[in-house]
Amino acid sequence: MDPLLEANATFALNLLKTLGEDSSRNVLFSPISVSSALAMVFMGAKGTTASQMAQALSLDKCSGKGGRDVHQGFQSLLTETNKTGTQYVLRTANRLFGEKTFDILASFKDSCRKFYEAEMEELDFKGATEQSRQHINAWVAKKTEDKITELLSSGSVNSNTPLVLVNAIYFKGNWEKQFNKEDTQEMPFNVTKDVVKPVQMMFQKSTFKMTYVEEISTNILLLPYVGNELNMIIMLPDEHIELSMVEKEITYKKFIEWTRLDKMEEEEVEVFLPKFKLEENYDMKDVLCRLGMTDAFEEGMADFSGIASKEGLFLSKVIHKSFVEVNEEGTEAAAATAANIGFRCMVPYFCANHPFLFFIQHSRTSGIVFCGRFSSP
Amino acid sequence: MGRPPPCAIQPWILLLLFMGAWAGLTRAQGSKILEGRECIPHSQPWQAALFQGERLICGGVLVGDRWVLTAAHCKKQKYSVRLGDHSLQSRDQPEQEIQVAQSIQHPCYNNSNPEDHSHDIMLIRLQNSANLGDKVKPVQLANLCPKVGQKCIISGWGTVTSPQENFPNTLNCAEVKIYSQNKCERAYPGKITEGMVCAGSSNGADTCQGDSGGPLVCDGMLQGITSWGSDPCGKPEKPGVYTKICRYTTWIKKTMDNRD
Repeated sequence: MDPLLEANATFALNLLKTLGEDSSRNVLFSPISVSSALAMVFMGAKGTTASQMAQALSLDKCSGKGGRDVHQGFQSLLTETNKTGTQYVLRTANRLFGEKTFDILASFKDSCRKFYEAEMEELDFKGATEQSRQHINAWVAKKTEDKITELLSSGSVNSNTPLVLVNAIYFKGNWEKQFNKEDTQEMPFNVTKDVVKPVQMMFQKSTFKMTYVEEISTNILLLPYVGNELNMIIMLPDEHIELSMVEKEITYKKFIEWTRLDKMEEEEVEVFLPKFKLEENYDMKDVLCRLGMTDAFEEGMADFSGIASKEGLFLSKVIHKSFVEVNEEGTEAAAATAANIGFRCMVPYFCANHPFLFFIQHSRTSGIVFCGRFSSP
Repeated sequence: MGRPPPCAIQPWILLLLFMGAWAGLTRAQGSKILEGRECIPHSQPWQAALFQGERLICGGVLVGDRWVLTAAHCKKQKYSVRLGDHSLQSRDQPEQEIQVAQSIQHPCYNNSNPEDHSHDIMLIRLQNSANLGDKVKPVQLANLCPKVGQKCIISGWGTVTSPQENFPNTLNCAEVKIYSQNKCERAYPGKITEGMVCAGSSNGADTCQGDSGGPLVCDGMLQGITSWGSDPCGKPEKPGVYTKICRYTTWIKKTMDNRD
């Protein structure tokens, strides 16, 4: 088992539990994207700062040859996930912005490019704060084809900002089996037992991989995207089960066990899935501190001597913004069930009319590209 | 897709109140299995229900203290059997839930082609023996094939309306008659085998979604296992199709003997 994938997935689940503590809020982030961005910074970290980052990212088990294996692993993973010619749209903006007076090491810049397909850019936060903010926002907008604008809000950087990690990702994929737009209709979504909101619910009846995990009273459905390059894994608990219970129970090992393809049965299912756009913006500082990564954010404590020889460099901000759109579009019209005869078993239905978890997984690598929770329309 | 979402089942319950009244006049739509009624509790003591967690999958038939017969297409990786049940939502006294130890599909069943309805029969070995009594009792397997016109009882917790689905809480029963093989063949040209038997009613009594694996009992003997049929259900000219037990009795007994 690939230790880097395990590290990424473990980090993803830790992040899910932390970001998702307020069960009324939706959650959306890209584990591969956040992990790789932070691992890039980790390349330049030393001492306690480095060990704290390794722990927060669950990279402690990956250490070998001074962490070189980690960065080569990310290089392979990112190359595979971001390769061109895929049938899904994945736009990423991944960049480290540093105060120019710190004289960033050329070797660090080279490593960012080599392993993380990312640039390190030097800006004049001290002398031109607002222009720097606008520059970052313009760059993110360009990289995401204007899907993500105004990443950094007014006043979010100041003249004492030495290092800003920016990570934005937009995804839009077509289903292997499309939903019929005519079947989409408004339906109630049970946010809680007492709160019901209307949602546009898509419908299709097709053969999918599905399994039921008794341990968490949860149905797991696998919806393939075009070419089966990516899959959406949806975890939907029984109606009277709180999703927070599922979130507490989930670990990397259990996730792997529950989503094993050979344990999932291919069966005809009636799928009801909300049509949604999720857009979440996180300042990751608090979350990462709670995962143990504290020194990196403290002036005087942080050790980023691998980034710049001049002392005093610390991480001011880690911004992660992600955008996922789920709609009916796909390539294969669900075989119009002209069949007017059939078995008389219960055609299982998978009705996502109450909060659920979803993961968008890269088929070949098993990497988790997105992780989220739909709590409320 | 004319089928409304099952999670919006409430509105249809309201409609059913009117349909129930209307059905008394025209029988245009089923009312309290299609055109059936609630069974007298525990009058079908061999009736089993297959569950995956809290989700009903199929019916089944108790044929031995640790054997349940059902449809092959009902097989799941992990599921359980409920016996002695009448109301699915309330726990009755005789109710037992036993895990499935082994699922044995008929060797000729075509697992990979859902269009092939042949040999749709499966034995389930229970993890432990059922406690038998008045309300949990194996049914006798038919040793003779059913006669055309013979009256039989079908039962299950499947939907009582079609194509709109409405699932009853209690076990439902209906009376049907055995159709001749020729009539069956005319209803489903090229799809009927010697291992199948059709049973229906001029009033539209029929099995439907959720009833698979359940019994077709004639004069106290098991003659059929609910398998397939038309969609929507309940068309008199398109009867329900059952796996014909008399063709599989030897396999059933041999399999049970070999693994007891």
